[in-house]
Amino acid sequence: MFQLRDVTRTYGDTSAAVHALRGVDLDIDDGEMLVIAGPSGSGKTTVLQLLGGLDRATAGRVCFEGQDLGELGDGELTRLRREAFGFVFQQFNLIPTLTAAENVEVPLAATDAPRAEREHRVAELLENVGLGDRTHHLPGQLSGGEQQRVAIARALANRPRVILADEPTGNLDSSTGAEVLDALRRLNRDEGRAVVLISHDPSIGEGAPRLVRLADGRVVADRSREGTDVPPAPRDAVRALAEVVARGAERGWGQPLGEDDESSVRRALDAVGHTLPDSARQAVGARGSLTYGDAALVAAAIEPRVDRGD
Amino acid sequence: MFFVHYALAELRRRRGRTLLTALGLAVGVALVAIVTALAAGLDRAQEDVLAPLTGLGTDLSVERPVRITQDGSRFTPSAGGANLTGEERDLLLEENRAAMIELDDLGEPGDRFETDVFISGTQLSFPAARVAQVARREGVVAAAGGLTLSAVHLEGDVPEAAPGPGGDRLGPSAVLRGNIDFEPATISGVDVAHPELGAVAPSQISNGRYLSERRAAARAEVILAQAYAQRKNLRVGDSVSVGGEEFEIVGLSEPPLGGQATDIFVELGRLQEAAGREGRVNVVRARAEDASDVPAVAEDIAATFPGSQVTTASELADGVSGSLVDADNLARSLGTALAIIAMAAAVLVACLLTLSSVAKRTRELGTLKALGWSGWAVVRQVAGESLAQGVLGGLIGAALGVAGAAVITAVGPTLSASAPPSGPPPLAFGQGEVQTSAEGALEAPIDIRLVLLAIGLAIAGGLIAGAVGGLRAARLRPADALRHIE
Repeated sequence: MFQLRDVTRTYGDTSAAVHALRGVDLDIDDGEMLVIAGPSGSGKTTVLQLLGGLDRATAGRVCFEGQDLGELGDGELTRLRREAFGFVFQQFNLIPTLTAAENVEVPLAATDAPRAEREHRVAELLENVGLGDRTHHLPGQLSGGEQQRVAIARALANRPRVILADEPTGNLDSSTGAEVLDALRRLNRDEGRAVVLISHDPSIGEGAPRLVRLADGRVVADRSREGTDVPPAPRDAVRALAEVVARGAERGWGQPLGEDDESSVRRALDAVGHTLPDSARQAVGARGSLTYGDAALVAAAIEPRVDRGD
Repeated sequence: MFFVHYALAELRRRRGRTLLTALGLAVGVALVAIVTALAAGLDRAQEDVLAPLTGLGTDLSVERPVRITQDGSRFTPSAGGANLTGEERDLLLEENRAAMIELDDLGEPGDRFETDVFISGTQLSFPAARVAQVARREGVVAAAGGLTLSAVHLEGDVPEAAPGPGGDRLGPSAVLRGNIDFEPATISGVDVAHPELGAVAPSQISNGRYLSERRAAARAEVILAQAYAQRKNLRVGDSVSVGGEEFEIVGLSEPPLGGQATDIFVELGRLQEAAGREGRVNVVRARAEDASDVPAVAEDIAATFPGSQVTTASELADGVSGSLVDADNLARSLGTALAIIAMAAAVLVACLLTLSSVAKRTRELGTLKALGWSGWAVVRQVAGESLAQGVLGGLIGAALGVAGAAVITAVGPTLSASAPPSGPPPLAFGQGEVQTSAEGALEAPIDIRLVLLAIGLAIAGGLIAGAVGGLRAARLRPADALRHIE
């Protein structure tokens, strides 16, 4: 379904450029459910936006069903978003003045679908997400979980082939988040829709059929592709690495590691380096002297709970 | 319908901003409406006040005044025509020969006498055939001749002849020597076949009626200027003697603004006979086929008749001044500028508020684009909301405009207009008692077209603001819009 090849996304000009993605390769199959995890600033949302045609790559190719999205015009991308993609956002992004039913109707309003058909579809979707009795409620009159279910119903309005969900549980309590996740899993399992879900919640990644970890704009782990799980790292190595990453947040990710910090990173690499994906090993091993950014990359690959904290 | 519902819901949510935008447009629109109504009212007032000058149906008049001398000085009776050319002095003497009355003709010194003389003053007469010539000119629809003379009624005892040249004539010195009363009046002959081109128009009749259409019937009729009738204590139905003949007063006329003083209006042929000027007139009044033809027609006639002076109605109206004219000029210049500035400011404010609204709704608009709304759909949504604000602003503005115009009409400030005093050569438009100023209450009439224009302007303003905001929204990159923090 999706193929990303050496995808780079850089924001800003050369003097103050922010490299959100640095050469990402990724394949997503039809009907696959995929969780993209990683610390804040790792590039998760950027990947999702590139997949959904909301943004364009600076370099590399993002292909959907064989079409290079970078070569499509704005109108064609709009059509793809309307017909093939369904979006779920962390903030729900419901329109506050419209009722639940009207919010679900928003994507349909951009189509030629007759009114009766739209109304039938909206009622069906809200019924499916358990909100058949909330159709005339405004978002402000719904709980967070209900709002996100409305957003999921909205994402499904045009029968998309893939659901792109950006931190859909980020604003929900754990039980409500679990309900939303369950709804997305059912969509994947029962209806065969591909679901690409972004989360920095490790518990979500652990239960997913496939987990891709990003760090510093690179894919540092792809569990199902590598065919193995990331093994538990020695506790002391993880702790030492976490301290290095914390210092990196203060000193700057581009700064070279101090001598002690470098030996901490090397120790962690010795312990679990063979389990790292090729891209991460190449990135870290390509240079003689390591930076705090490399430490964060290793830490993200070893233990998702080791966060750079930005 | 989804878009309409969505737009109305958004406008309700941002009620304050909606009202602010609508009110901004409303103020601009109201100003435009009021200024336009005011200008229309001033036009109407000016038309009413100037009607006697320009509304007689006469577009131009042809006269033959005594030519002004080369040094620019004008003829004055005291100069005795000393500054005239020899030819013009002869013409003037010929025209006024009737005033040179031989005392012998009045009777023996000490006899009682009563006589009327008609003199032309500075207005030279010409053959009535010129009326037909003017009527045949291209662009002229109708033409009528007129004759305006000074009628002097003399009554008293015949004085002794004074020694010296001219002493046997009835001149000023003879009048002073003798026991003689004299009473001047101005009299105009009207071609009853063309009442609208007469020295007095039917619209000026304030009491009674106009002269009969048939010449034979009109010969015994007279119309008097109101002031003259009042001075003489005469009423409609009374008889009055002119040139020794009795006339029945059939009507009284209102004085026009400006124009020559005329007290008595009779049928043209009758006056020509009484004054010994058969077949002669001293003014031709003409109506042009089209107002735009007037200057060309005037030029043509002036070139055809050497010595003639052609005056157009607009030239006469240009001489009018006063608060009415000042207000009209103010409304046209400052008022129009103010209205344009207000409207432009209102549209600018609407644009800025719409842009601000788009900025505040960046994430929402980005969500719409992420959900597959095209740029055009987003423009339509934003422009639709702005259009609704424009309609609201137009309705409020129209209501404010109508209310403002109603207040002006209710207050009705008095405006005056004044015309330059007439003097030789006399003005041919409007006769009767000279009135050099007139007053009228100002009104600001509003008609449905003005209301529609006001609403249309507001809608246009709303659309402009909507287009500006909509295009800005359409250019939003979805990824950037979704990152926007509200």
